[in-house]
Amino acid sequence: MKLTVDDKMYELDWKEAAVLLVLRLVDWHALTLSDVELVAGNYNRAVQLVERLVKMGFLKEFKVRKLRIYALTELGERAADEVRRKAEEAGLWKAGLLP
Amino acid sequence: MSFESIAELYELSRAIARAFEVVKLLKKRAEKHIVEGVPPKRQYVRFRVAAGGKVIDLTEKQVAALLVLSRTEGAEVLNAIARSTGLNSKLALGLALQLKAMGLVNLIITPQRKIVMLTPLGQEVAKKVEEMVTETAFPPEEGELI
Repeated sequence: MKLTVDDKMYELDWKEAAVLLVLRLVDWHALTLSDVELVAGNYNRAVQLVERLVKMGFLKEFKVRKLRIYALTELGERAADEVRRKAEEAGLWKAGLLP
Repeated sequence: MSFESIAELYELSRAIARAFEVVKLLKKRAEKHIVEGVPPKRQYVRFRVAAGGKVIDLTEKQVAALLVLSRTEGAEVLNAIARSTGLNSKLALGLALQLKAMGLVNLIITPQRKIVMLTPLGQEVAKKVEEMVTETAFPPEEGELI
């Protein structure tokens, strides 16, 4: 899907958009790689997915020994809000469905 | 409606469905891992450090945590700090929150993992504490040749 954030166009697939939304929706605003795996479906895809999002500037990575934790950057927050806005506009974001 | 916009709607709906499903699961998991930080009791000020234009009083547990962090490139998992300081996870989190309130560390918290990172002020304080500890432990001998 195409996203315009700060007048710049980005192309994300649905799993990447889902990671941004999860990070915006969980109260602690951070995910481990194994949390990302739940969205991606498998480890390799999760690694690819976060690498791409970090490269685009949507995620920042905190690395301690083998543990990696990801959080949204300010740009990432705006991108997640844009995904949500699009969903609301299309009538896909139903308050009742929110966890 | 064009093919492109239908495809985009489909992608969007999949993203939302997956995100909601994962958030629900993560929140459920998080309920089992709620640890509220409790600051360790009986802490006494042992060090006084001037840094960042202010004087900072530190207890021995706080110093221990800062030393662990300064020796691991400024970031460490909370469990490692708990082990090094002899505290359980509840008290270690309380200690980390104390250091955060003093502006010495940042905390990245997920339900299962917690990372403690030194701030620039924390790095300065940790460096000074390290010097003080080294001086106390190994005082320069009189008449030492340089």
